[in-house]
Amino acid sequence: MHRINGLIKTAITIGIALVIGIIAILLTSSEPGNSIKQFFIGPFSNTYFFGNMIAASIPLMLTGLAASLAFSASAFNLGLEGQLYFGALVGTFLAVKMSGFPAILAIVISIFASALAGGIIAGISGWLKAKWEVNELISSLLISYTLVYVVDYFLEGPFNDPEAGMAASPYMNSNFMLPKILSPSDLHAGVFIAIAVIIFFYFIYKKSTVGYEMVITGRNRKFSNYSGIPVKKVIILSMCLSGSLAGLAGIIDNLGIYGRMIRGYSTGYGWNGIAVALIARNHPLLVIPAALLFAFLESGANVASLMSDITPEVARIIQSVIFYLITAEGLVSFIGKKRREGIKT
Amino acid sequence: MQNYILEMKNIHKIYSVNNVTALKNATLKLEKGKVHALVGENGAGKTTLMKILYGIEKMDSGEIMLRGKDVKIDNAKTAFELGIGMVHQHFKLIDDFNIAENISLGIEKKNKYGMIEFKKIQNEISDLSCKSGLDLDPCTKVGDLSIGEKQKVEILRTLYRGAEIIILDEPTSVLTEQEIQRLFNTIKMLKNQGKTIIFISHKLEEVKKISDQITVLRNGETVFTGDTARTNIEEISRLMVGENITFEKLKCTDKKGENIFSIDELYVKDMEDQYFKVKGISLNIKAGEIVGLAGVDGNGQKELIRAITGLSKIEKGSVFLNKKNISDYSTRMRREAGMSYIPKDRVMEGSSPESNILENEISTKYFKDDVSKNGWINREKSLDLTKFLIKEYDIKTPGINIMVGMLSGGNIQKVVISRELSSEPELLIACEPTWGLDIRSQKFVYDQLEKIRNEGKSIFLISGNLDEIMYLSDRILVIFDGEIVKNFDNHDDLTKMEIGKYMMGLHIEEKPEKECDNRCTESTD
Repeated sequence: MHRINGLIKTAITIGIALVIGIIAILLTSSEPGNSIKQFFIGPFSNTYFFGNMIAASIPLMLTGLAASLAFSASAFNLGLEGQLYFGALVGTFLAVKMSGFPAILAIVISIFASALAGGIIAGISGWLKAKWEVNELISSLLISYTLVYVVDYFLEGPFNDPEAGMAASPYMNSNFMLPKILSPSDLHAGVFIAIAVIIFFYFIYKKSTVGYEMVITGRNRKFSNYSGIPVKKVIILSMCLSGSLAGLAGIIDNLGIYGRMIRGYSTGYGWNGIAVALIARNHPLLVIPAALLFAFLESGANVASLMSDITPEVARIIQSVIFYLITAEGLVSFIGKKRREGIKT
Repeated sequence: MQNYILEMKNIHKIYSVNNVTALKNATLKLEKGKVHALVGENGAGKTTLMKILYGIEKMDSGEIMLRGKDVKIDNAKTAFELGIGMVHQHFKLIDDFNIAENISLGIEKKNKYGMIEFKKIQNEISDLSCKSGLDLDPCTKVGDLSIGEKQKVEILRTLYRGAEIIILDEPTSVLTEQEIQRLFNTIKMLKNQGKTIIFISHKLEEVKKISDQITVLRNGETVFTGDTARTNIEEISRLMVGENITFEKLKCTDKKGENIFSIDELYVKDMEDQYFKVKGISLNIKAGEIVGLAGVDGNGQKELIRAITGLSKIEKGSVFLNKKNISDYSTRMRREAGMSYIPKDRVMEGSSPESNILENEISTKYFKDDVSKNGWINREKSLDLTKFLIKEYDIKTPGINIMVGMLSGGNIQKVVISRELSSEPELLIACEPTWGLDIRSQKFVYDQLEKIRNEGKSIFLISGNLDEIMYLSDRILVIFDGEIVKNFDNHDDLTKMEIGKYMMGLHIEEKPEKECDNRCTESTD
């Protein structure tokens, strides 16, 4: 009942955002009919666009899961972008250096190293929170901002491929690339990894003691402390897991699409992951459609800008409207709840 | 035909969320200038009825007549335009605002340029507070006020909005004995000014003292209305519950065992880590013994309990359970060592209102073999456990998947107690175990405590309710200013007065009564 209500609200929110997007197209396009058609139909019009749309959703699924995992334990990991970027650097570096290794081994090591690197970075914020009550929201955010520059330094300097002519790492052995599944599009086997990870975490969340600890701590930290749930450990662990997923999201594009790491390749995956988690209401499985929606908006706008005369920023407008409406609605229901709690005897 | 200022007739209300009938045929008739008590057990429908009157809930059928005219109250705004004001149990004040700002919030008077006229508002409020005898300085910041004063601000707010009928929802539940006296004076003053008061309570002695008329609700139905003077407490209590429930003092058992629990020279600081709130407390509790801790709120009880249960740091001293020094144990290790704890705040600390009953019942044992294996929770085992506890402790719920926050106060407490007792503790720490509960639930709690005491368990009972302490305890300790100042054996000839003397710190030196009064209000909150 509650959940269905939430879904209806989300649907309305998305509807309003799309209408606003359409208005933006109407205002800016000289052939709005064609633009709107390209926007909505374009991503499905051929395998190339369709595959690219799904490919764009892969990192979003993972960052969305990363955000919902942390949020449901009420650990506010806002450093996903930096964790993702740093994880990707570590993973790519190892992949490049392991060029003589068997492909499977190299891929596995690279993925795990990225996850580990992201997890450690987020874990620092969790640890600071547990140890000295440092607000994890602030610390993760600040660490993340700094890390982006640190990683950029490596891409421009020590880990730069001079032949690239831009801030990018050398290529890894092309054997290490995840297999493509819908050529000529970018879609790669990483999508199965992402879905498998999501399902795995869904079960963790629903059925395991660790998931129980996270959910209960997220709902009422006082109660968790009282019950003897190791709240500090739970918070550090949630941050670590969240950061690992961000790291995984970071490496997946490099292994799947680029074969190396290019500066700024993440078009805000970390930030959009937070929006995805909000739309999915922190439900691990709903992260999949939410990520697809975000990827659809992105590619719809891209296709429409190719085939018609609008700018791809239309997607940003729609995404931000969704973001505002969902956060505002979250705020309203939060205040409403506080109000009801106040009245109840 | 009498002239009523307000009549609520045949009010029906069914909550659609859980299909619970909250009110059926509830009727309430108020005479102008009278204090009308609305009494009933938890879940009897008092609050729902008031929410309907205040426009927060909609009724399914029934009528409301104000001064003889049919009215429709859809929201709180309409309610106060009609002169109905409500003082909620939990105050809705902004600590950083001063009294005048709080009172005028949302109805600020503005001049023609749209600026708020604070001076004018302050003067009005100042006048009103003098006239009504509430005596508050409108410029004081609300955060600096005591709970009793905050309540006055709430009352003043209803007056400022022109309330003729003032609803006081369990106004005494948050107050100390002295503050209750002051509240009663305020109520009398308001009455003399012609205001009509609805006084919601389940403390019958207070009702008897302050009200002119009384209406009893049971299971959403009005079962009695009449003059307070012509009723007696036993009768009302029987009407509330529908049967006779009486409390008799627990008989002390002689089968006391050896020391199960002891504290040695314990020092604990306050939550801000600044001052010592517990100053060298030592005590011990034997098997099969209930030790009550009496004291005015704020004398170190909270810090003592938090230190015992592992939620706060111990500065100095040790805690022993079953001869083991558990001072450095985490909360979980203490629980594993045989400690259980019923906290004072059963909603925010003792349960997770947004979680279902199952999730609440397993919070202290989800990691054990009883309910999980290799890190995965066994759905069947935990379901069986929950079903068993619901049955064993007679938790009234529409289903197992119901959020605990949806249950009535008494049933939430049953969830807490069933969880705490099902781990078969050696020591139970019970903090205000019946706070805000109706008589039937109270009886249930007392029976449970008696049962486990007779099984040879130890109970440390902390309560602000002296009757409760005297009814249950084998021994009574009095805490004052962070120290145990007296250890009474609970003899039949022990009086409340005697205990009260130590609670107030009067044993130290006899002080003039007035001064003592001030001192007590300072130490509360």
